Amino acid sequence: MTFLHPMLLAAGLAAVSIPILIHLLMRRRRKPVQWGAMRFLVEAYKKHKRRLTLEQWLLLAMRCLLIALVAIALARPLVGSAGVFGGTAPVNMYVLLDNSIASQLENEQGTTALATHKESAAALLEQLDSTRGDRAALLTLGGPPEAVVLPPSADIAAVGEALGRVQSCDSRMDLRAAAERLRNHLSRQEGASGQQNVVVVLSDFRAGSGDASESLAGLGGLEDLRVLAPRPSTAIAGNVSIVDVQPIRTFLVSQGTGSEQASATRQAQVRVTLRRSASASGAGAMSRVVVDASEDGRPRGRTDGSVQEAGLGTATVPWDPGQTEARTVVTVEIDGRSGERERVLTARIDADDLPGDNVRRESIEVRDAIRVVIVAPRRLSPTGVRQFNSADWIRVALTPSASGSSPAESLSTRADGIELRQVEPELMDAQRLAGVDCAIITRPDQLEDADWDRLADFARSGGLVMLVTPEEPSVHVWPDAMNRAMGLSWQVGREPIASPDGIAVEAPQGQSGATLLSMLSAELPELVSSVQVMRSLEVSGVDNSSEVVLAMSDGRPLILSGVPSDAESDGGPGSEGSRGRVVLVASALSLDWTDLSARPLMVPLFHELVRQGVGAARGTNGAMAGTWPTAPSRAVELRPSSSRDGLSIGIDPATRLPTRAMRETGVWNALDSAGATVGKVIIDPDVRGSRTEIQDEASVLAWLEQLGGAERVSWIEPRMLDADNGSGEASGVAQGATGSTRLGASLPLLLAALALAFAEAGFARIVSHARSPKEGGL
Amino acid sequence: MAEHMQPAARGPEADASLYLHPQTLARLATFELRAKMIVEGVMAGQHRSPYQGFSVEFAQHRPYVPGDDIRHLDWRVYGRTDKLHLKQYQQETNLDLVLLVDASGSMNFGSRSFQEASGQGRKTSLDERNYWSKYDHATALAAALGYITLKQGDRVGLVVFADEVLSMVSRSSAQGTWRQIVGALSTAPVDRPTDFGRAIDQTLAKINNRCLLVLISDLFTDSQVVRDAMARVRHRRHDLIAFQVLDRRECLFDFEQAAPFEGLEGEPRLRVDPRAIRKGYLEAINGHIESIEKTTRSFGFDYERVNTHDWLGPPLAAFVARRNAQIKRSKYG
Repeated sequence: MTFLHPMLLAAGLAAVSIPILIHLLMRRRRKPVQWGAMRFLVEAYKKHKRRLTLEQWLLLAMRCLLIALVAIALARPLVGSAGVFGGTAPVNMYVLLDNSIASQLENEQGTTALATHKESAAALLEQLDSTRGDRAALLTLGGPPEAVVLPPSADIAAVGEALGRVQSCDSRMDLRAAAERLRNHLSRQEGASGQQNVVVVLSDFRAGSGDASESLAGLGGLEDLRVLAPRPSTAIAGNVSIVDVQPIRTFLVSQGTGSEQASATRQAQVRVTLRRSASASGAGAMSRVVVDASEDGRPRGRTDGSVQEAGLGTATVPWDPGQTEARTVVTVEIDGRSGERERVLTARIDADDLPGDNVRRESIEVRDAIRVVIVAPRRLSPTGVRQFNSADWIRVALTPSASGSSPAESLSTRADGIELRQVEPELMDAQRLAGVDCAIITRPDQLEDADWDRLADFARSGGLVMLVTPEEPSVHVWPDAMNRAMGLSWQVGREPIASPDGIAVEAPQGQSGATLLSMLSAELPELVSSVQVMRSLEVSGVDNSSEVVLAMSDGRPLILSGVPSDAESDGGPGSEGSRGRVVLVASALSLDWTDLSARPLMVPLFHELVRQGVGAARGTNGAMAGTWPTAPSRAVELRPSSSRDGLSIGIDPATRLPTRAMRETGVWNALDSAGATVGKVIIDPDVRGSRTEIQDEASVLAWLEQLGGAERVSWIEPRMLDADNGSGEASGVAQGATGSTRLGASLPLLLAALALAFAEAGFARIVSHARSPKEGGL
Repeated sequence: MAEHMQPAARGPEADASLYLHPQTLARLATFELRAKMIVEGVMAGQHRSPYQGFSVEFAQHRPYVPGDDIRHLDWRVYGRTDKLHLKQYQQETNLDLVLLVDASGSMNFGSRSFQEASGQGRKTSLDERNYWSKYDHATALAAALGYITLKQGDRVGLVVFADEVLSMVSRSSAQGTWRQIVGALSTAPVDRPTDFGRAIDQTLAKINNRCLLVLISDLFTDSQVVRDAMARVRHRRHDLIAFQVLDRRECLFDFEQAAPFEGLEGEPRLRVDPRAIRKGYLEAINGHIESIEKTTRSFGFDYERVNTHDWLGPPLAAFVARRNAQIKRSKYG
């Protein structure tokens, strides 16, 4: 028999000697009584000696047994169906195997946690008896959980083989989802009485694999489950994770022209964020970060592993004692000769105990220019800046180096990496929008509903829509159409608010407002100081999905951006993976409204709005392991770019989502029906699951008790996994895994102890003859 | 409760008044008056003689048989009936009282406080005991009986015994006899086992004429031994009155805590829960007491149970009353 608290059992059994010691001590301390009628006492004693001795021994035995029962109950025995309850009920054992990224953690012997879990699972499976009706199921916990064998199978050997094929993934453990799946299964199995359902959760329960602070509550229908789990790992594991790789610019634009562009080597700055597990946060550690533009993390043409090779960006991050997070910026050179538009940046760090999170990728787009279309009615060339309208100012701002031509002279201008065109509002069709990255609308009041719908579709497909307040109408009703089409909740005033003296403009406070202007963050306060706004529309209702790019000193937004959405979207505005961006300028770019156009801020402001806005609107084609990333259009399957033979994941054309969750990290090529690559999908490890901090037993126990109910969780002791113990009494697993949990065995023992206590009290009263009448006398 | 200690030897300076509570002495005066009323002025006539001879008081006639002394023929009857009858007379003798006091170890038990029992204001006995033992009660009773008897002019002797006769005071009605008796009672050791048969045999060997034996003992000895000893007393035509002295606690056995019990006559220590064994113990001791009483009465002897927690007066009064009734019955019935 196995006990959860063997030390408590030992102490309790030692306490059995207490009644004996009390008896002996009382014998020594009692003063003898001198007695005259001794012969009658001896005569009575001899006559009842056997009965008295028996009573005394029985009483002593009851008292000792009482203490022993309480001790055993408090020690919480793990007694199986063949144990206390004596039943032979078949067992359904559901093995929940942690194959998340945390299971890749290697111990000092080089054995991964997954291998250890699989050994434990195999040992448990060996102790099942299919002839009795035992069955086993296997679910992997790497998110999203996968039912390898479900419903439970009586073919235990086959389950064991399936167990052997389980591989670790790069997603985090999702016990809640597995429990929900189990609940759904069990709800369909109602009526199969006489079977015991035992859930075995095999995990190290580190902070990444099972965060005990997360709630598992609300999983009804699992109260009758008995949960077995190994004790949380206490081994200290050092792990450094790359939690983020973010290019400063999400795409690169050539500054050269013609043949120069083809041979140019472009530099990209990449911000790499590292996290170190708290348990390994000692002093003197350093992490070397290497960033390369290859998909597999190896620089092309590199043969000797030298980090000095051109094109390879490196950085060294020193860790201060107690420091858990660090950022560094690495400059990497990207060879533009390959002709690939989308390049993959791969960041990697030195090997540690958990290799799964040592590599992270991010794509960066290489292109010749950003295509911008200004949707505005054409007019005669202005004779002076006083006649410049918003479209004119934006054209000048975006292409300042296109000298020699007035703003309205050319329909198409290319300068400074921006290819600018202007179209009439009535000519703005889907085909024209499909070829541009950014659409700037300076006369939104002239758009029809169909135009707004086309703009919304353009935005949702990853385009940047910039809306500039027109100066003509006195009443602005176009924001209603904008909100409807874009799914925004901004409340825009219908009439402009005039401030003849002008209102100053302020740089946004905090990080949230500086996303699009992050490159200007250092100079922005000085640049905005000279800007005055005389007239503007009042915008309110800015929620968390929107950000204020520039605001006036009275707090009203001047420029703000948001993510388009519609009611049919599941994710809602601003959800992860949202594409497209809408930027609203609440003031017309006319000198009557604001002098922004004539200030030095104008050029960098609109360049950054366009460049960063296009990058933000483009979204990312990366996703975390364990999710369903949206595939590029026309893609029908995903295949890893590296050599993974035969591995292919289909794409549902309706949803553009893969048919299964992407658990493996790497670069996946999205292929169309003809087998041509139409895009890339980058899967990064879910670093939330790679935290290796250990958790204490109490918190994990409380966490698991949310799964199976209070007092229904037992730890798997190492000796319970010893198959040599056989199926007899010594076999802990045969009893612990298939039998009752702590309270299940303890409760009958406590009840028995209570009954014995009453029996002892009654028997002691009878034996002591305390109530016998005072007979005799003279 | 007074616990028990091995008694020390009593000193000769013991005062007789130690054994006679004022209430007891007051009652004894009444006994003496009542005794005088039974046989007014004739000390010898107070006691019935077991010998039917030819003394003073006519008893009965019986037919003459050859060999009878013709001096006892009643010629008056012969004259009236022409038949020969002899006159028989009841012989009246002086009462020789022999007090047999048990001084064995078991008599040293007592649960009554000495101060309460003695009535002398003393908290302890002369040997520093704080309890009133059965031996104390027995000696008080013996002294009282001796006092009565001596007051009536009869001879009184004393035998103190345990496993043998420990001390003896010859029968006498002299003035100093009572002090001798008290002195003997005071000096008797009480830590030896009982051999009742041997003590009776030694006593009977010292007595020639018929006596009234007053046995004062707890009689915690085998009832068969008591029977045999009484049979020998009966055979020697002695009369006997048995006072069985018992302590109330011996008859209640009301201990509540388990404790080791040690015998006063050298028995080994016995660890026992008194509550568990009480019933058996009471059965044993009550059976023994009943057996002793039945045995005593089967020989025609008197039996009286004496409780150390009672005054001596009531048992003495009961005894004297019963004794007088017997005398009257034998004299007139």
